[in-house]
Amino acid sequence: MRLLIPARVRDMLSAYAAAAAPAAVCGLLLGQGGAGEIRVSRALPCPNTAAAGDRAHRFEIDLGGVVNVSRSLSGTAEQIVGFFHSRPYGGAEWESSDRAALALWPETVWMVVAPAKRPQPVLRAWWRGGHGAPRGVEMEIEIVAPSRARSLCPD
Amino acid sequence: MPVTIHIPTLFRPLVAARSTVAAAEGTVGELFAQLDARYPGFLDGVIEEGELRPRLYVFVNGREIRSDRGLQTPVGVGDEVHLLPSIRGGARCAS
Repeated sequence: MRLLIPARVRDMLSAYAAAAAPAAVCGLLLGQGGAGEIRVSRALPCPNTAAAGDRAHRFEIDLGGVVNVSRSLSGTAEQIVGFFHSRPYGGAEWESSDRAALALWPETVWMVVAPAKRPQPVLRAWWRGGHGAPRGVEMEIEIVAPSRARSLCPD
Repeated sequence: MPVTIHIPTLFRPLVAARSTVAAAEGTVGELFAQLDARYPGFLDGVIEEGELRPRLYVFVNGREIRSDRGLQTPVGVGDEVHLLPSIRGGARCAS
C-alpha cells in the first residue's frame, strides 16, 4: 500500500511536531483512498487530550472532534484516511501501542512523525488490511511535488 | 428518514462491508439489536457483559453517550449515530 503526501503537508507535519516538542502532537489525515494507494490532501491537527503529565509520551485524539470533522466532510470528496502522532524523543518506530491502535482501525493510515531526527524529520506510516489481516505493514511513502500536489489539494 | 449509523472499518466485516447502515428509531441498545437481527454477530462485536466494549464510543448527533444514558440513549428519526474506537497511543501506553 502506497501513501502519497504533498510536500507542503509533510513540511507542515514536521514543523508542527517540532514546534510542539517536548509534547507529542496528533491529528487527522484527510484525503482519498484508491486502489493500492491513499492520497493525503491535508493534515488536521487535533488537541492532544492525554493526561497533561503524559503528553511527552502519549497522545489521545478527542473523538468528538473526529465526529465533527467526519460530519463536515459528508458529501465531499475527502474523508478521514488516517491519523498521525509524533514521538518527540524517539524515532518513528513501530511500537506495541501503535500495533494495538491499528488493530482497532484497520484500513486506516497510522503515521508516526519523529521531528528530532536529523538532517530530515522522519515520517513513517503503517497500514493493516481488512478483516483477517494479521498485522500492520509499513507503507511506501511518496512525497508529491508541488506541481502534482496542486491537483490533490485545490486551494 | 431512518436513523443513520456510521460504522468504523473495524466493524464493517460484521455488516456486509457497509460504511453506514439504516435503522428504525429506538434506543442505542435497540438499534444495535436491530443490526444484530440483520447481521448476526454484530452485538457480540460491540457489547461485552451488557456494556459497550472498552475503547469503543458511541455518539448520537455528535454527543458521546457513555457519560450520559449509555445504551438507553434515545435515537430519533433523522438522527446520526457514530461508532468510534478510541485513537490513542504512545510509548508507555497500555493497550
